[in-house]
Amino acid sequence: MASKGNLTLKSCNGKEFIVEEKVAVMSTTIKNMVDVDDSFAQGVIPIIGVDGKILAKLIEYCKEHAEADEDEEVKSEEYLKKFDEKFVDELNLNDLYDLLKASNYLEITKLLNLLCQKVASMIKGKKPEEIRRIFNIKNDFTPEEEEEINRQNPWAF
Amino acid sequence: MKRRLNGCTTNKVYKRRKNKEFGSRTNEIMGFKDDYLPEWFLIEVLCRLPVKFVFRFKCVSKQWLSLISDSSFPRLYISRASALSVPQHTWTFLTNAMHIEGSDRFHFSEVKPLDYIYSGNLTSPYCHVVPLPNYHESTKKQIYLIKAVDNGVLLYDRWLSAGPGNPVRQYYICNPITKQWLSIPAHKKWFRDVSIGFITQVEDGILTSYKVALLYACYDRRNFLQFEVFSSEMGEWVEYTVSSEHSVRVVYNRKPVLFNKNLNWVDNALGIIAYDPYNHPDKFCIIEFPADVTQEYNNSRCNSICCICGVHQGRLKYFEVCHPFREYSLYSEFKIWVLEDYSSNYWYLEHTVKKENILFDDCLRRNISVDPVCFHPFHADIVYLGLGKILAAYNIRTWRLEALGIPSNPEETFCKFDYAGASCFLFVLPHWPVYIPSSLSIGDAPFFEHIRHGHCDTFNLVQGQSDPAGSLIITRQPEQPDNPWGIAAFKKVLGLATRIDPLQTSAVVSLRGWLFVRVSFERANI
Repeated sequence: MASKGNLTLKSCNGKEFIVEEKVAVMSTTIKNMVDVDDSFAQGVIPIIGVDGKILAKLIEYCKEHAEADEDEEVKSEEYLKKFDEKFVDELNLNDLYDLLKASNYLEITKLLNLLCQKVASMIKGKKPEEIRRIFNIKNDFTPEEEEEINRQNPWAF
Repeated sequence: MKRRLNGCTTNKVYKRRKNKEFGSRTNEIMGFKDDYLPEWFLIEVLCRLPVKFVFRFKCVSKQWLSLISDSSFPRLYISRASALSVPQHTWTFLTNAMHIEGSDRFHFSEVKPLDYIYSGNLTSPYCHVVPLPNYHESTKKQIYLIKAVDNGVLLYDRWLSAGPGNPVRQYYICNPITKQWLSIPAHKKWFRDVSIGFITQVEDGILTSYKVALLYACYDRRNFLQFEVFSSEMGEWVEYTVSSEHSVRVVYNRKPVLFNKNLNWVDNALGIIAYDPYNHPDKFCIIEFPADVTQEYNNSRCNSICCICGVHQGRLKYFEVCHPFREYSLYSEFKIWVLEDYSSNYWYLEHTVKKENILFDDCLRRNISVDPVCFHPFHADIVYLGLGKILAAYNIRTWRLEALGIPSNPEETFCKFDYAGASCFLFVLPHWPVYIPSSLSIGDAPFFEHIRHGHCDTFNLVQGQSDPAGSLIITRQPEQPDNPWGIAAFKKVLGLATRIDPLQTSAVVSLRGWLFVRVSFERANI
């Protein structure tokens, strides 16, 4: 049981994390849950579909940002920027993918923006076939169709 | 298409996660399954990419293509992209022979294509100089000249001969990035000198309408102006002779400035001539000069190298290089007035500086004439000036006149017969490249009159076009894809040995539906 001002989050594989409320409510989804139903604030909040490893990552991110929001002097904008950079740099594609989904589900807008930016800079300048490989997309064009599309935008290559 | 950063789409994502096992996951791929990326995710990522890559990724899959090609996507992209980062106002100077990208300081050593500036990699301090799309044509002595720029679309002209002693100009509109071209039928009248106005309307990244307004030059004062206006809606040129109670003499060598839906020319004595070819092609109005404009400069004004009007931060401005003598290198001062309210004639003097107080860069000569080019598109304090073949930036706060660099080969960079000032066109890069739809050329009848067929002519315009490479393109684009007549789109490209002479080309449709095209090949030595 979390003490007052703290919430307990439970991952889908049963791991529990006790976090400060201000950290947890960086997630709009959790904030809404706590706001409408007081029992969540007392008990355990199940975070469905997010495993312990990813939840720990999420909490790490939210903690830094919640603290920075509270006290700008200790955690300056510059510090946060560095933290963000390091945070995304250390992710492999699997984690990036899991975090994207989790932060979308939990509505952690800041993190979602950060992750989308990371994906964008990752694919910028890449060839279409590399994009397909990264996202596991099947090329559903015939070679003729693909050629026709590219013929229309020669300036983009 | 709605952007969902979170909210209801999360349920979908979450359900997918719950119901399905993910595909094989290695460190190399992201685990999206079934070749499907959630739309919110795709939008978020695409809006963070430079336009060039967004277009490149159209061929990733059908999902990507349909999202990027959706008519609402350009607007979404523009609003998202500008909310996400500080909007990068990119602009360049285009010259008749070359492009020069705008930056604070120019170097002319590195050559990059114009479309490079859509790739988002703008940290390079280098200026990019490349030939225009028509460059190869130009070398064959077919000189295409930029005449006007609006909304990222250029208007070119090319001189043609339509018989002995009867030259005409052929106009083209072109997106210099995507290299889409469209030609406009030849205008009716021949005048040696015209000043050209160009207005475009763009919606959701698509050119929807344009007007080309020619103002015929006359070097005497007289009580009327002659215009010839081409509109994409009508597909033809219409002449207007507009009389005035004042006698007017327009500074013809200056391109007009588009402001408040009006093309604004400068009269050498009266003020600004405002002409609205969309709503009032049969009249113009005069916005009188500021009271403190010196009337004795009238003559030097008409030689046009000393004044410009321009638009800055939503206001019309007037810049004058004052020449008390008729010797253009002996100017005495710069003055800038701002028009307080477009419907009134109230101006205020924003800036004035005497020549002796201007701080010239070492490489700039003080005793050559100064030819104002344009106001900086975003920076309130900067005006661009041409000093011979050098472009310079004048800062009204610091009084500094700074050279932007000298092209390594000015003859190549600027047209041989033009100075920097006359041949530079300000080109502000649109956030999304403007698409020139083929439907616009229905009205254009680029190379021969458009052909009507039977009773259902609105649905069955067949259109012929010759591209610069010389092929003849015949297209039919029904306005309604599922029309009751069963008319389908049609396109036929015929490779021809040489270019077609557009003025000698005609076509008819017989009652049995045969299309007869008569073309005459362009003579090689025009």
